Amino acid sequence: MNVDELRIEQVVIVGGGTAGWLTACTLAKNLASTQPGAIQVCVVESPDIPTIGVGEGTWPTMRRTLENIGLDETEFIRECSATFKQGSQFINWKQSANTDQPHAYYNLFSSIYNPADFNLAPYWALGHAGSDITYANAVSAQGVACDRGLAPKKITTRSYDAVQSYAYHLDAGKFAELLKRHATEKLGVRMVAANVTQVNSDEDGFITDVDTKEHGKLSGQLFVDCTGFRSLLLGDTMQIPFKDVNDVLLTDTAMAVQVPHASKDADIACVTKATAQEAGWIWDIGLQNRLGVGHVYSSAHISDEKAEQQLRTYCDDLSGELSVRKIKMRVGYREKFWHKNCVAIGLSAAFVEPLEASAIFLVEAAGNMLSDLFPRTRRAMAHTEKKFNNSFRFRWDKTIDFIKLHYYLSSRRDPFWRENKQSETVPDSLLEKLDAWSQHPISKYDFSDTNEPFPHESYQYILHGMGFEQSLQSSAPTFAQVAQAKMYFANVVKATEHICRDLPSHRSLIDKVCQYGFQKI
Amino acid sequence: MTSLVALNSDAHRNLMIDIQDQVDVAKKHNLLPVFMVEFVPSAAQCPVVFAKNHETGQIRPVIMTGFKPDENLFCDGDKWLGRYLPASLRPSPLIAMPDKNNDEKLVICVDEKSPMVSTEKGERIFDDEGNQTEFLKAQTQLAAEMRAHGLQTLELVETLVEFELLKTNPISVTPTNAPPFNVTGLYFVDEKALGELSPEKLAELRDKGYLRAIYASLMSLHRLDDLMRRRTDQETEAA
Repeated sequence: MNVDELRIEQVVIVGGGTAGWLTACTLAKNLASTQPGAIQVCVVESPDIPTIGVGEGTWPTMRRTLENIGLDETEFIRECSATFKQGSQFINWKQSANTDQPHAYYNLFSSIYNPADFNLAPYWALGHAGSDITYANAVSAQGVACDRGLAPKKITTRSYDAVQSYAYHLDAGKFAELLKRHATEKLGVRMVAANVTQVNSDEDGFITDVDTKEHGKLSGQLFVDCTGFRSLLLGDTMQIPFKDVNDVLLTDTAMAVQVPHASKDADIACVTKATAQEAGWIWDIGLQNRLGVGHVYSSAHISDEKAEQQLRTYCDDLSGELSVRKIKMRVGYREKFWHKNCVAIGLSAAFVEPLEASAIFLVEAAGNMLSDLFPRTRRAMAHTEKKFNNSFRFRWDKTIDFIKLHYYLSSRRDPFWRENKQSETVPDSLLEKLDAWSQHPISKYDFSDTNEPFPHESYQYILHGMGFEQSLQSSAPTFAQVAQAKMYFANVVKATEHICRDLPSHRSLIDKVCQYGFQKI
Repeated sequence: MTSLVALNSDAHRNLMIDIQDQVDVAKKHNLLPVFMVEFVPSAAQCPVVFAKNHETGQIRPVIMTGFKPDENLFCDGDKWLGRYLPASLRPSPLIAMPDKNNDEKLVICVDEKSPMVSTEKGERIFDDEGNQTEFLKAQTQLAAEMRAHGLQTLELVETLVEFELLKTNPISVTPTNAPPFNVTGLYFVDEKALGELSPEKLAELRDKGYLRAIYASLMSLHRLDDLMRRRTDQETEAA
């Protein structure tokens, strides 16, 4: 038989964790693995290798992803200590902490008007919303709602529906466990608990099977590498080189701690808080029972001891009780994500600092693209490989630019921050965009690619939140729909009052979800 | 707030209960919860639909007594104008709860904060020797029945949701002398989905005794007109 006509019947995912199990769920669901004759999915999970489990924030796409694989939202929230996330708050990114008035701004998930229909940003920049209103509050109700600790929906809102768009904060370890149960019990995924000892290939360099210590050989026609930083298949076996981007993104280490809430009814922030530090930043994510806090920093600019001290100061942990876990980060991506019959998803493919929750979000995107374009024969694989690689190269480059944008717009004076602005650390693609945007508002034409990871509005939140200097005066006459813009700004103010009056506090909604649950209708 | 305490013949020896209808608490509400067993008697007078409890988000059957949240066209002060008074307006301070240590066993609890409970007015629940009175025996029976009705109603709703037999759509109301408005947030039995239900599921509804309730709810929608007429009549009287 011609190997080109070899049919893809068995997918082997090496590695569990969030990436492995989420990909397994998405594939098995979309390929209808429980049906007779359908493509089968198997996950080989090592009983000995712990998962990294730090990625605790998602994008709103997760709601569709979970609904698609048939998970109940209430069950998900209860099992994963999950809470709602309405965006990110960046504290002291513009300038160093000023004791009286820290600088803070939001990147939010929903605006009242879609900027693709009517972009309010230039009208805000020209002062038509008023002189003392932030960009976020001029276009969205969500910032005020987050300031007041409100949830994005009510207990009467249907599962996965929103009053204001939202994503989740979650316990990644518990999430992987829930996905594993769902995959094996409901979606027809087979799990093999075993350690992979060797990866075997045929003469064309395609992987044929993996040897395991406990369960012998496992063969398949398509292999998904979810082995985390090890990158056992794509890196070790296929020898696809890793491209470091530490010349652009300067952080290389993370320290994570878990901080219990002060009390059972403590308020929970409905955003991820990212507070700038001398040589990096601290994330702060509120789950049901605890905070997940971590310091991402550049070890070239600060010692581990000092970084740890800054983290403990942030957590008010002066006596040093919290146990800190240090993680070395290799920032960058593989030159290819798909090679022959091997696809890397998750940390095995790429990693950047978790500033914009790109990790889980790009795992979802990879699982979706893989199942949408799933090749049925080896011959079909070459075409899918090319498409997949182009798409993810694009997504990672955009992600890196977007994260760099947060640093580049800062006026902080510490050496780490100054180095972040030196032109040799800034990609040309970013400089080019910023140059264009300094005289022209961001428009939908900047976001015409379907693979674009971050939406138009996110860029506007960052740019205007950071006080990006944009001179639109010479083109002001182009923005002639002033009366309409003013009416929209007034509507946003009204909608904000209305929405905030209607929404419960984040904590009280979480408690109600745990007690009663959301309805499916 | 209620404060439920398990009945105890020593602590509650002298307790008296004076059961009263509580129509006045309903006069500012247009949706009143009912049990499944009440669908048929209720359907003769007003729409029996489904709505979410604002506090818990749980769907429960309700009778519709008005078109706006604070409108009850069946109340005149503390007088009920309908033929059938729902059980939720005849609440007993004696409630059956499952035993903490044994789910199968019911314990009768009393709401000590209820205005119907005192040591001065009503019926004794224990005699001087601490034996249960006939009144308490009857009330115990009733409380157990109420609990069973509640569970049966929950199961009905669960089944309707699982079988995708509930739909929501706004009702448009056109008063004679006021601008039209929409009533939202109500759920109705989806007649089309019911007609397309598989024979197995339909048999399940029949075997569980739900068909009578389902059809009562469907037919009760014709009472929307009666409700509108009641509104117009009351406006005319008031004018």
